[in-house]
Amino acid sequence: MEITSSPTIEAVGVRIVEALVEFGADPDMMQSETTLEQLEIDSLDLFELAQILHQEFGLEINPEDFQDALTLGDAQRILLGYIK
Amino acid sequence: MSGAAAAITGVGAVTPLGIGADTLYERWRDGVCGLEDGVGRCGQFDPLSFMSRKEARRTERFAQFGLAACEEAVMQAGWPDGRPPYEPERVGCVLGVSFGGTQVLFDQYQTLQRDGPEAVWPLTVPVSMPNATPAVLAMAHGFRGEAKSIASACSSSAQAIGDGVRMLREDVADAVIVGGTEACLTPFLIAAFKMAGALSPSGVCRPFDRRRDGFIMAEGAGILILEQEEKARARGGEILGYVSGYGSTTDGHHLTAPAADGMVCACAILGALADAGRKPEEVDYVNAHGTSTDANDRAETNALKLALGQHAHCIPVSSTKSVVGHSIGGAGAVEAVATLLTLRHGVVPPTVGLQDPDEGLDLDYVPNSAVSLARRGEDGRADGANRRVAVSNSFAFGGHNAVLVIEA
Repeated sequence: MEITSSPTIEAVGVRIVEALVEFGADPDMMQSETTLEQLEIDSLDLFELAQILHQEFGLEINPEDFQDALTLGDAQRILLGYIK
Repeated sequence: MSGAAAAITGVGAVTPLGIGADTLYERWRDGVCGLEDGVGRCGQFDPLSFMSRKEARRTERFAQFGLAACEEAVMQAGWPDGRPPYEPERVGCVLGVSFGGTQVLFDQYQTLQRDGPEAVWPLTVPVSMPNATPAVLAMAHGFRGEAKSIASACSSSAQAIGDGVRMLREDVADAVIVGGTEACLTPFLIAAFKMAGALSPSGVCRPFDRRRDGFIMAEGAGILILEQEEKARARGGEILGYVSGYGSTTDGHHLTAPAADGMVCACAILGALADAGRKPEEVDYVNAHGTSTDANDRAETNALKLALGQHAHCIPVSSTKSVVGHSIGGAGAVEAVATLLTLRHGVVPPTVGLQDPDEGLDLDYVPNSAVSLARRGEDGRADGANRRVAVSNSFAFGGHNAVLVIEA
């Protein structure tokens, strides 16, 4: 997919939540303080999420950046940090 | 020299006849055929009845069958909350599979061609790998011992069961989850088997019949919980039966066709009986490989006559594939489950579709309706002989012959 303009934080934020729910996370637990473990989100999910955000928004995400992410909020901050 | 028999404490199955081991046995016994439109599809299977949406998304159909059949088996075995009643490192898993998650591989290959390497699904490998089922079973049930997959085409799961028996005898495990699973009804593999001349053009499975013209591809899984007998008894587990012997040989003859004389298959049968400490005349029932191909049914009949002698004419021989088709890597395990239940119920389900046995195929193939097995122990046999004894055959592309002796 060709990316024509910089993505907005809002659009990427919405897509992150959508993707995690699509992966099987409980939509009612999507609070920033919820841990990735509680959401049953693991490294494979983060690889897949990185791929989606690359394909849809052109973001070049290094999945290793998530090594220290414990909560959904941590992961969101790291991902949104890629937006120029 | 024979070795200790492995106690069977639980079984599970997913087959074209429905969900569950009892469903498989009862419908087969009643002559119900699960084959439709030339294939054996597990049409009643809904993965979300057995696993979360996340687990379903991360597993191919073959692993989903394995999860469902294993859930049934561990519940029957009385494993608390489905967890091993032993040290987790002393519980292993050996499962047969011939292909694994081929649909994902094909889909992702198309993605690669269409959209390039960066579009390939990151979960392609863990979802499609043949060992995915032992991996997800370990996550679901918490065992931590040796776990692996065995790929030897149509003998895969019989070899997996045999390998599990050996693990118990070698005392490297207290319990082993064994069996096999396959879900390869993809257009690509159906075409590949068809072009190899193995499939029935008529779409009808008629093992041992004069009109037989090939096998019916199917999907399915069978799981058995095997435990060291004394340990199963010590924990109060109910013993349903035993895998008492295993024998395996390789034809070394042809990539797909069995050696017509059945000699090497007979060696596997005799090896399994010796391993069980049983004589040929002690066999009460044979669960045939019985594929409905011209070559198998003739070679298998020859093998049974060679191995069992005149006794081969005195016992029922029937084919589970006549009602569930051939689930390749899952077949041996599905048939082991069916064999166990046949012995326990004392009623041999029929070879459905057999109407006109081919020339030279002159054993009692139990055409059309079930027959009762003679009750052991009523004819004055010696101690330990009051178990019924069955041979379950699996013969594979590649010439892999695997035979189990099952008792109950």
